[in-house]
Amino acid sequence: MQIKDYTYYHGTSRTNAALIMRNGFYQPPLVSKTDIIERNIKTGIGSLGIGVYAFCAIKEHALLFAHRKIKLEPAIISFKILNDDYILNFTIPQTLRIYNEFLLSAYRTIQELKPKYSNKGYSKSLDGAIIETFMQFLMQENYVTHIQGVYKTSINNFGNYLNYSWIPNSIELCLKDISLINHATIQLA
Amino acid sequence: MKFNKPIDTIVEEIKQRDLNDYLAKNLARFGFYVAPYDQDSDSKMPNHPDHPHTPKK
Repeated sequence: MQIKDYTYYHGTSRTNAALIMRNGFYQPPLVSKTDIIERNIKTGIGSLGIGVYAFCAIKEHALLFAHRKIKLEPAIISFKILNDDYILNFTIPQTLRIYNEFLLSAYRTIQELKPKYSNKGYSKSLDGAIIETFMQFLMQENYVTHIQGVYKTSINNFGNYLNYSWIPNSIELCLKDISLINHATIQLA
Repeated sequence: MKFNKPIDTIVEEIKQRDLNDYLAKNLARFGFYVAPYDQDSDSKMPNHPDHPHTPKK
């Protein structure tokens, strides 16, 4: 199966779910070649950068996430995407090779970031900021035409033993471009 | 993902680059400040005009 073949589950509050069902998903600021998105870490960005986050294929993950984050009245919205031609896929070696080389070429800066990575509160936002910078670099150098999403395995704290392991317990998609969502498939799950 | 060049070419091209300043400058726009490396004095100074420790002109 390919990325586009799966169903995706977005965990949110009932209030937000109702808004999404009525108005559609909010389009986050798009990354462009010339202008990186400015976002203070205090407003929070996820480990895959700025976008609409969804769990791949496993609805329970979205529910566990929503229970932990939202506490009251969580809701799940499911959807499918139209294609995966411009999704940066961190589960394939080609992407990892390029990303690793990008980090190696900025090795000194990465070393300087080490203390910030030791702060778990910042580490996810820092990962997200690096991903956003990496995406802009790929576009500026014309290595890609555009990027509509980022897809990768992740280790999530679902409140069970799984988050103590280094083995990923979920797959997440961060949609940068919501036009990729097949609107006919959006529903409360 | 549709890449516009072969992966080997992209990797080789990135290998020739020094992206330290590029990454540091972009991360500063998210609020992550990285002190640049000063080869002469080995000292470190904040590298972003908005950083609270950057001397004002």
